[in-house]
Amino acid sequence: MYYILLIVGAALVNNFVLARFLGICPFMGVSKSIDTSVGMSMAVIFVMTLASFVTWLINFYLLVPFELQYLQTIAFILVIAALVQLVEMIIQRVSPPLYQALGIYLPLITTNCAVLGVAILNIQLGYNLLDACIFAAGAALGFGLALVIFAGMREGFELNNIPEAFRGTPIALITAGILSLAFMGFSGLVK
Amino acid sequence: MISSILLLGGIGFLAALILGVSAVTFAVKMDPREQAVLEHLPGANCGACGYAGCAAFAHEITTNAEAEMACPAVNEEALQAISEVLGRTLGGSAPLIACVRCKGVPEQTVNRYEYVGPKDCRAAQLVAGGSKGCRYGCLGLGTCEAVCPFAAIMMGEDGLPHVIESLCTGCGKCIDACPRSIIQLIPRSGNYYVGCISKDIAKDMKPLCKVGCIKCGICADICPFEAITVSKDASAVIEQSKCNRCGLCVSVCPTGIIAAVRMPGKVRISPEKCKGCSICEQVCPVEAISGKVKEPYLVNEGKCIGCGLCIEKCPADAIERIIS
Repeated sequence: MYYILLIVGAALVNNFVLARFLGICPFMGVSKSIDTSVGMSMAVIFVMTLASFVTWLINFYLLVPFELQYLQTIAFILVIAALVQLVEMIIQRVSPPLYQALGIYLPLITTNCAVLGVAILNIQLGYNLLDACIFAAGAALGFGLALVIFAGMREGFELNNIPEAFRGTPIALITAGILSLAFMGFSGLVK
Repeated sequence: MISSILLLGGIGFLAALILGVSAVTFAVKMDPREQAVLEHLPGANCGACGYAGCAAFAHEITTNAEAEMACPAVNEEALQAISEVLGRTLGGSAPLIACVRCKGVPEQTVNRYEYVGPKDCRAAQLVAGGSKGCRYGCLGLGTCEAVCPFAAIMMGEDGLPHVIESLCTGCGKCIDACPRSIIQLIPRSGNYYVGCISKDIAKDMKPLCKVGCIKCGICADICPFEAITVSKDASAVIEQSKCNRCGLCVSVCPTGIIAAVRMPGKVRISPEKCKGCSICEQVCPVEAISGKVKEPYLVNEGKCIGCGLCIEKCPADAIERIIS
């Protein structure tokens, strides 16, 4: 039950994009079609979970013993960037179809603030290793959900007669704001 | 201080080491030829070859020894280079170019209603079949211009799309996008096309468009190669495999809608070589050559249509094209 609540809390109540406002760049950037947004979501789930796992280990086995917590941000960025590169290489060799599907999105989100955000939140909220991974997966799921919903709405724009001044990014930002308000309805669902 | 430098440096060094080692161990063996082929492909990822982008096609043509050159956008130079890389001769097809088969500028045509929707021909076509009076004519909203991955189509001030010859690669994207199928691919080498696809008989068409094919059949009659067919309910069509690019049809068309992709150069008679045999004067279909027997003949450039019939017949090889 605790884990279910953890996932729901991360995915819906404190949705990374719509409540914490992290990862706005890919949220606006790759939400033009549902296909690409699904690919991006998969890559985010993959990277966020993996990054949480590694950064948690780095934090508790390297930074804390040496009392170097102030290096958290830079150490995490370094580790995440290297990790994603490594994973990309391995996937390319081991599973070409998966590489085809995730390929271009993996390097894109290496230094994304949502990925770094989840790593730092894991430490701030005092999660243990399993908690951290599940929290990250839930958060990434929420990110993917928001991204796919938003991409669906943006595809709908194509058919609408939008006033000229609002076309493109302005209407996308307004829609994102309203979507964010809608997600505020989940607050209080957990705790 | 020291510990922080050591720690970050250590992590960085370790990461670099792991990445370096895995770059070698996990290196995907890529055929170097594939990369070379990819460099010669246009790189527009237009998908006209039937594969998911240029990289996918480069992979296919490198690995499959039977694969033919399916890229319609590749130019002759690149085709040659790819053939060299792969060590086999690639036939490829004759380079094609898009031509717009409608000359109905707004001043010459009538509209059935005023269209005020999205600037997209496909959308306009959905509104009662488009606003243009002629059901076959160009709607002129520039969908072909928008989809062209090579920026080779430009909407002219006359409201019709114009193909920029040097940029068009014949990928065919515009053909799929045009809701009225006005655009056609024809061989690049100076071939002719009829600028109208209307199936209306002349009496029905004339009130709608002053520059459509009236199905008079003069072009079909004059064509020495029988390459043109026309019937009362189909505009003239030039069969490209039979067309010898003589250009006679252009000069006789009463509505002036037959045009060439690239107008062939006019001819010039070399005064030194000409023996004055008068054969050229006899074969010239437009009476552009004149002169006296046993003296060098002259070409009236204003009349010459560059059909090249005289070049073939000249026994002294005295006639050549002026490259314009």
